[in-house]
Amino acid sequence: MSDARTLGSLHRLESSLLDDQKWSDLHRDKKLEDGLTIVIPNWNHQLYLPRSIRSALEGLKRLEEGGFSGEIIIIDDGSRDGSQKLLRSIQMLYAESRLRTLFLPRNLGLPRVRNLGLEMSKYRYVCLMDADNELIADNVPLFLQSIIETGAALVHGNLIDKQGEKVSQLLSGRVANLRLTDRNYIDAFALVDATELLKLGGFMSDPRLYGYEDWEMLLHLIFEGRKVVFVPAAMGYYYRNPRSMLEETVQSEEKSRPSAAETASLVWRMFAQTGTREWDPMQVGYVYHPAVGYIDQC
Amino acid sequence: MIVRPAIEGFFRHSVLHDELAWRLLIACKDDAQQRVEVRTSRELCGLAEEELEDATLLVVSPFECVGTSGDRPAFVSAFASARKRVLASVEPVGSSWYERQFMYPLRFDAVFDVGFVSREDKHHLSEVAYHFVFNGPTKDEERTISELSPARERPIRWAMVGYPTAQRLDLAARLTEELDSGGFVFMPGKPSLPNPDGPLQRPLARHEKISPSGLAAVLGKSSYYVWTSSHDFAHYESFRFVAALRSGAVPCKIADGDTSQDHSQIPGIFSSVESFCSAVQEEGAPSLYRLARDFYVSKGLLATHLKEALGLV
Repeated sequence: MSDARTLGSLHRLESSLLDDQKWSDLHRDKKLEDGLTIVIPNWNHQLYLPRSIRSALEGLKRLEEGGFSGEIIIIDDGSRDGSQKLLRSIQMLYAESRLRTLFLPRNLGLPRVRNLGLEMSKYRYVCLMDADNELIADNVPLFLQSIIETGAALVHGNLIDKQGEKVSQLLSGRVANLRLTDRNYIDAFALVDATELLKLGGFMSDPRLYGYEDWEMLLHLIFEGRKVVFVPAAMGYYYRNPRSMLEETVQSEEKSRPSAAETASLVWRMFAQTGTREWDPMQVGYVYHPAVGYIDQC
Repeated sequence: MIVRPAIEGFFRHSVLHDELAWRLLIACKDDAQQRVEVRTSRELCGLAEEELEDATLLVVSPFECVGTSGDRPAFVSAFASARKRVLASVEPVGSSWYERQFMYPLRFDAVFDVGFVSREDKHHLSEVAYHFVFNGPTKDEERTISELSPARERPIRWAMVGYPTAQRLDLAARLTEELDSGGFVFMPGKPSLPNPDGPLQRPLARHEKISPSGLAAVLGKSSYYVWTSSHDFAHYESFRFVAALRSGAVPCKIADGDTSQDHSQIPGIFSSVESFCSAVQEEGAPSLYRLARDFYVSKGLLATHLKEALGLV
């Protein structure tokens, strides 16, 4: 399918579900390149929203100090925990800042909400974060600079994975290589080039991929020859909540539920045909830091 | 003759062992009286007895050498033909991975423990003589380090590199929160074997660690190179110290327990994150760098220490 047709079908799909919204006002075809849109999808995370939004607002300040522009888009995906009321208050409070909210009349699911965020973004570069994540504001300009300088489709950094006060791991802290076809280790909390992702059809919302859409998107980018770059600095905090999607996916894997095995098998069939990929010499991941340039690049 | 593991083979090649082989080579060359050559474990198998009968072998990582030789009996036989056989080690003395180096049927005459502090008391193998070799600078390093005058501010405030352990993760998070959020942190994890039920049957190791030249590029832009041990043995990672100084970064080890007292003469060892942050605020990188440099240069060249040790074998 051509880029234009892929985009067209995406528009039709999402605009039909937004009866109360003026889709043409929301959608941004032409995107600016001198800033960052921070997209926060929310589904029943009312209690975590103040933390994620505060960190995003701080991130906007750091961007401005660094000579960049920015905006925040919060999309509520049909929450039933009162998130909308809080979000309306926050929007009133920050009426002058570049913070936009969108309230979906019913739940679309994370991949489609992320696609909406990519469509709506004023800027070409988008930071995707969950409502229970926290950005490290001071480093936001570093990551934006990295994605601009490398022309990457996705830039990821270290995510400090916290369970209470204990740091359990640095999520996303490994360079993309073909081990990714075996198992995903890079979270969607990253900066992406919205134009590139949309050209490739955005996140798949196939129910067979539930919980693994990030993985599919990452592999799709890689095998379409797009650049994935690791910047070895802290991008944010990942708080592991007992009911988070990652936690449920990990538990599902540990319990070897058929659904997890079937999903992994589906991704392997798509991207990791045994006997071919393990011998593939292609370079898939890069390490970059604006102060150093590419590190260990052959 | 310096013997190092061949890069090919099943065993993963250690960057640290490469660095050790390289430093020993340069140190021998710095001492014009030493004739020296480097051979891989595979090449050693192909040497005739007469080529080895007058040689002193300095073997780096025998475990990997045997594994990568391609012909274990030939390697053992060539090894036995040498006049003297010395194990060059950088492992913490007393650790299981130090002792593992003596597991193979290779009879060493001596071990050279290359580092900053002698650990003779922890060496319990009476049949193998222990000699400490201070990991001093090569002539080039001495000149480079003396000429470096690091700026007070570099674009990257601090850098941490290594595989993740609970202590290192905690340290990285605390430095992010308490010193500067813009630290360089590369902790890619120990390479694991592929999932037996997954599609890939062959390890793909590319880019899972940083090369010495990559590290030098990062440290050349960093003020502080920070690390903490991945184990509880009293051991100072002298190669990290040297890598930092060569690039104009301040070597800083965060150590708790006995280690910092044991190594009290080495500058840049801090008992806590708080004491490190205080030193950064109060003294600054140029001053801390000078302390480290003066200590290192005052200890003399690696060539001198190596020659002394060779004279004892």
